[in-house]
Amino acid sequence: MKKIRFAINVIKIFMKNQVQDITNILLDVFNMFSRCIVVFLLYAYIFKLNNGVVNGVDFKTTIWSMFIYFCIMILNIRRLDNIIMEDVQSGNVEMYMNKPTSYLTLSFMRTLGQGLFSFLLISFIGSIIMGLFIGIPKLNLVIFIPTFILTFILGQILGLLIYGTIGLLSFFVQDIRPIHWIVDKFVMILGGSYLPISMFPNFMKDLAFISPFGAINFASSTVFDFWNKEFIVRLIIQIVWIEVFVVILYIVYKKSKEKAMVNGG
Amino acid sequence: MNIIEVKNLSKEYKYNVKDEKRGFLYNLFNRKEKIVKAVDDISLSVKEGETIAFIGPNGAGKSTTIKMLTGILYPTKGSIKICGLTPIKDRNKLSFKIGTVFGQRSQLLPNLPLTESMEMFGVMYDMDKESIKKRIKELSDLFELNEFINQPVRKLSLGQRMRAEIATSLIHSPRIIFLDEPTIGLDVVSKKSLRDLLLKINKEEKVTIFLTSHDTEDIQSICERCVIINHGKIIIDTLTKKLIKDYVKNKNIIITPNVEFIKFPKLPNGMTYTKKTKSQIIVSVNTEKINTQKALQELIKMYDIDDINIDNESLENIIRSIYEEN
Repeated sequence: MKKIRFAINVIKIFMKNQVQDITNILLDVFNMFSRCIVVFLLYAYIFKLNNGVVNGVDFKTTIWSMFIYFCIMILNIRRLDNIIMEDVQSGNVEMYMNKPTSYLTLSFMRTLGQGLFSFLLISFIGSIIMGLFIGIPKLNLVIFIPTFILTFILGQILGLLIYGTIGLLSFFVQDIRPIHWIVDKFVMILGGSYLPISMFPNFMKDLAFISPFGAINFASSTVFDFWNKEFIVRLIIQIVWIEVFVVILYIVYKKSKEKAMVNGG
Repeated sequence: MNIIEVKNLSKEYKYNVKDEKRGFLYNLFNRKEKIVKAVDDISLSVKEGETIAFIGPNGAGKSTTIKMLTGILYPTKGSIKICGLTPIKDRNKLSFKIGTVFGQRSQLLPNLPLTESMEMFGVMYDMDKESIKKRIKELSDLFELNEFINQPVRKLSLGQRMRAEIATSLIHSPRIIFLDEPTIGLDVVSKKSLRDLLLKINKEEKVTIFLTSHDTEDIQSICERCVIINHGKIIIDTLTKKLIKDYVKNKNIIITPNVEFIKFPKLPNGMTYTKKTKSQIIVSVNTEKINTQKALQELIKMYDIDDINIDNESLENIIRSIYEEN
């Protein structure tokens, strides 16, 4: 109970800290809407050329999938590795290492706190705009609502574990940005940033289905028809990847602490 | 009772050294390690409520020692007990007993008022809402934070921010506070106010103070005991007053003339001019060669004097000469 109270408190405080800088929020909103408009107009044109259906999926469903993906990006758990790298490079990590909460847990909370307000704001306003201008796709709400929430949470936990592992590599390599770049591109491509998931060729669909990078963004697949048949398998895949990355992160974190302690960060 | 007990503590760092005569590939596969002893077999104990200055030149091993004492770094050898706990093994428990302030870093949230950071750390230290509120009130009164406690931290002056940093690190009422150069970059007024506050928390809350600083005024006004470290070894561990008494070799005699000084006669052995003007002379007296009374008599014979002042050598000079000797 104490841990939950602490987590909520820290996330709330970091959220407040972020809200004070209104410019960042405005930039997030601008970034989101400009990306959405460009991509939506482009795909509206492509779908029009194909009589409104590509790979058996209509424009409305595809655009909602991309909107969910963009909202996840606004939460921005991808910044976690950068936060850790900056702490390690600046030496600030030592300030958090003698606190009762582990540095990694605190970094998770900081990351969530920093992106949460923009995420909630943009998702809420964006959903209303999407509903008004694009319409709402046909969904089985009994399956969609609980599985969307569950897969979204599992995806974010998996994301924190993956980006946390990359961040901790900064204890061993000076610059983790190349590793971040590679992983990030996998996450973006397999999440449907460049090409909507509905347009993926079969091998990419398989890759997005089985890889941990695709599993981060399973929430963006919840609007498709296949979700109703696949959600159990997909949730299991997310849980398996979470377990794998918990083990990897635990080992890397242990080694990182030893490395910092032995060599002085 | 000893609150800090350190025995034969050592810390070695390893790093790779290149063979400059060989090429990149050779160095890639034939790495040679060099070992540096940052801390070399030091032992010390600190009693509860003591104020300790842990000083030394850059690279002497001060920060490494503090990091080992606070559980951030593993010692290579030796043992540490802080409040009866081993920092590396009982890091979590220890964090409730100690507070840390690193002068060049900030643990406060820049965009929010100070109270928010204090609340966050209060929750981190398992304090309930009421205790946090009460403690914030106590610390605000003690550190005179009320005038800026509701301002965003980024808008505070450096002096205010340092007061806030120290107050925040005391939120959980630690028994020891480790301060790594807390007055760095502060103006004279802020330095004085911070020193007074540190003395106040030592007296009123019985907090043991373990401080590193390059500012001798910090040491002289806050710390009753001085531990000097150089090349990883403790070279002096004594009371600050005793350090000044034992190591003062020179006294400065400042003389002002009745009219004005025209001639500057040669001084006896052990006395040298450090300033020669028409309106003032400063003579440095080496007390090992000539005692102060004798030196004064000599000067009275030589000059028509209106006023005399005698100053001890500054602590800064004493410490500098100790570093140079070692």
